[in-house]
Amino acid sequence: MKNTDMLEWLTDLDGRFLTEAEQPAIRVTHRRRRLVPALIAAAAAVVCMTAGVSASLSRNTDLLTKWFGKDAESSLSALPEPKVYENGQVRVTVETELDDGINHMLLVSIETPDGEPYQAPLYDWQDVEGNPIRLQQSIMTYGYDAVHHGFSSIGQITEFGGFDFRRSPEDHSETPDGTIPEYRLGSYMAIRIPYAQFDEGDFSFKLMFRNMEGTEIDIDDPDDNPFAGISIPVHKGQNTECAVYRAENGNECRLSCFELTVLDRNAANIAELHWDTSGGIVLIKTDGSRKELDWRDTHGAIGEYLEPGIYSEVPLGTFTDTDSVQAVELGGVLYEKQ
Amino acid sequence: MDDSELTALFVQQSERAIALAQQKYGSLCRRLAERILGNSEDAEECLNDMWLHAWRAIPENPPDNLPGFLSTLTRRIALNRLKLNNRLMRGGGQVPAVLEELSACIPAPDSVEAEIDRRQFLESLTRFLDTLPHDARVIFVRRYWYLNTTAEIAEAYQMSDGKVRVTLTRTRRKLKAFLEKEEFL
Repeated sequence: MKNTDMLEWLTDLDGRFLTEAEQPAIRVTHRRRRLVPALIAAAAAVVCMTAGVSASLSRNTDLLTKWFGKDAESSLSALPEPKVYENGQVRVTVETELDDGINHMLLVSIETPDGEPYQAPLYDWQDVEGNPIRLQQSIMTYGYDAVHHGFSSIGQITEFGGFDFRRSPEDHSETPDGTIPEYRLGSYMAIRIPYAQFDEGDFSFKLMFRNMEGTEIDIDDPDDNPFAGISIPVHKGQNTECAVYRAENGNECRLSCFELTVLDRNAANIAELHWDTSGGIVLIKTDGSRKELDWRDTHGAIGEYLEPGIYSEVPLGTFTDTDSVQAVELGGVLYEKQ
Repeated sequence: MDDSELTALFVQQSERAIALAQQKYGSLCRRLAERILGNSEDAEECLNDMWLHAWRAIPENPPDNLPGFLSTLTRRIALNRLKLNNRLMRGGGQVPAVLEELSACIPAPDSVEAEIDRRQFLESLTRFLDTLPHDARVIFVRRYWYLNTTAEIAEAYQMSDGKVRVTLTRTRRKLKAFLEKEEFL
């Protein structure tokens, strides 16, 4: 193929990518302004509470088992306790925050202050066949430059719906009577920080809805952003075990209860990295049994390139007890526990 | 006037269709043609061809995405014109720079032309783009479909030119690895 052919072939790229790229960029501002009473009230209403202070802050076992699987029930008590942030418009609960020394994740739920499902703004879109549909806006994180590490910026695995083409169109469509399917109203997501390097210490991030209209958003203005005033701290510090497994070629993978990371010491760039998941990833238990690793759909982030030699982040679909895992078989290569 | 009304005018072969479409999407298509062809004279002729094609094609197959259809048509006509003009590596526009950047991701002639057709490649590329984070995907499409300069993308998204370049570099690396995995390379 000639170089020009590539450009000609690209011409027939799926139109949804073109539509997406035509959307104006979101402009986030931090205008300095005099505090108006409403803003003062909103700021004052922002609270952070930890479990134990209120009965309403008890561990959300249903959500935790939904995310980590039923096998996690016995381990739930060891998970970090929830924290709640409210601003009068929305309640954000960090259900738990895990750090395995490499990767970091927060499981977050979003509700109204009354604990009801939060209705995200809607926007008009097209499904893959060009039919008009209405979607809920997805949530963006903002303000994480401290750990922004190349391409692997903070990531989300969201079940909130939103900017996701991989679901079938009917999932996103309104029902015949014009209502939005109920499942989309319950909102929670995992905010992941793969290969988190806290070079500059702890940091905070903010939340906002992806604004499809491309209008300017003042992230700190309650009129612009329902999450205004909420800043969620991310705390440095490993709080869960991370087991090391090594292959004969010197490569390593590291497994924690929520993430698998592969370190290919011999690879100088992404093209040299050996990352073959076609044969699946198998956990070999201490009793000799084999179990296929259940990993979570990151919407393509699996195998994300982090930096030369590190190619990682497979968020696990179920809570994994590393003590019971003697070896990991990855792409036909055996990694044994060290 | 929204796009469905505009498309309906094309279907009805109303004389207002092209004038109104030019008002709404003329500058979008003109910029795209100029980026490919590198000069306004050729771009103008390209646009004339494009409007003629649109006038003929839309009644038979009305597009769901009118701006996407018009810009796709513009891109195809401009690239054909570029080939005819034989200005590929010496003309203006963003094409030489874009081709240089994509050169590592382009499949080898023999293996591709013999075994892989364009549709398979597009299907793979679609899967690849679906794996990218939103911002990386938009930057890629802006650069390699709309042929925006990195400076234009940086300004549009309020990020540094360096960040756009780094993002593109990493996306191309990913694309190369992906195409190798899919056995295009």
